[in-house]
Amino acid sequence: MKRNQWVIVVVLAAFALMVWSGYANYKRRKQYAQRQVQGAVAPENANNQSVQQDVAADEGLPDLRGKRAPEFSLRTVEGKKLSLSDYKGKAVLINFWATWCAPCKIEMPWLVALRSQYAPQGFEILGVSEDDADTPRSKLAKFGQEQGLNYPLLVGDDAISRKYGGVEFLPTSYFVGRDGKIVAETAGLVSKDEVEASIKKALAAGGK
Amino acid sequence: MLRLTAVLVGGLVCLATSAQVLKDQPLPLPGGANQQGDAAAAVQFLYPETVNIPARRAAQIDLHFRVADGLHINSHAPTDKYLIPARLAVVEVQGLNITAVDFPPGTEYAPQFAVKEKLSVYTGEFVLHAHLKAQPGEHLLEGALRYQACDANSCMPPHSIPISVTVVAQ
Repeated sequence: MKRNQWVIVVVLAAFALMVWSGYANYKRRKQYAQRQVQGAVAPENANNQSVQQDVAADEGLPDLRGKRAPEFSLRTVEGKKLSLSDYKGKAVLINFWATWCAPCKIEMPWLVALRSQYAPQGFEILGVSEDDADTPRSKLAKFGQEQGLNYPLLVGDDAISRKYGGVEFLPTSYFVGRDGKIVAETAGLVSKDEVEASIKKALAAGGK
Repeated sequence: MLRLTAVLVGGLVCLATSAQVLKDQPLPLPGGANQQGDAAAAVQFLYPETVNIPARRAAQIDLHFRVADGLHINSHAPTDKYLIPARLAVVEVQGLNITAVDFPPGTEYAPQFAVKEKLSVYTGEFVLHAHLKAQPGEHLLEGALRYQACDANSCMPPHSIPISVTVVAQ
């Protein structure tokens, strides 16, 4: 092949790659725009939920939906070791909270009621505290008792926060299906109906 | 031929790199809800930078802060024992004695999903009154305001911002 022909081949290859790159970027942005639209048509507090999703994305919370929930092993406020893998085959709500978080306190009675309602179907809640590391376990346990919590409270650490995207906002919740994959995630307080819908989704995911 | 191959490989590497950069580039967000998640930016120390007070006599300086729009922080006297109050810590300096700091009363705030639950919060601009006494000369008043900020539906971890005021006592 002559030199001129080589040059033409190189130019064409470069052009083809540029077109592919542009198309891939366009496709990705289109999918992102669709996700934003889907997030804005939720049944209640549509604007609010949309903002929550935006904030979550902006804060670097990764979209973990469809991905396997990161494994963790933590101590409960009573000192018992507990791992996510202990709940294999169950739908799990991983709820990040803190004693100083007023919106977390608002949703806790809802979580208690929903846990009672759906536990017989194979549902559990794991409450992960985001209080400072030096917060006594006894304080966390007392808080749990005062709120009448009926699910395990775990003492969180930096490692689990990192695995779940940093957890910049509280409450933050991840809904894990029976198959171990995350089906929904929320940053900030959402309505009880939305929490329940996500629980149902987690129960339905991955079969029995 | 060797040069041509080098150009080809180089071009492919450049294109692959630019494609990866595009893939990793954060996507723009509608609505611009950008600033809300930054606990460090939730409160700003506004002024003063320098104050003049009479030496060896009790004086008061006003420290002005601003809470970012759409956010609130707990007041110095929250309504719940678990909530983190706004607090000011100052560094002890020879010749400058902070005798007390007055915090303003909080305003009542009802969270969106629990209107019965009232919080005591600061929003917008608020002012702390620091009572002090200083020896003649220039002193640097340094400290930090610790606060815990929330918006209507979510809270951010507690955070501290530094304050620094030059106190000139004459």
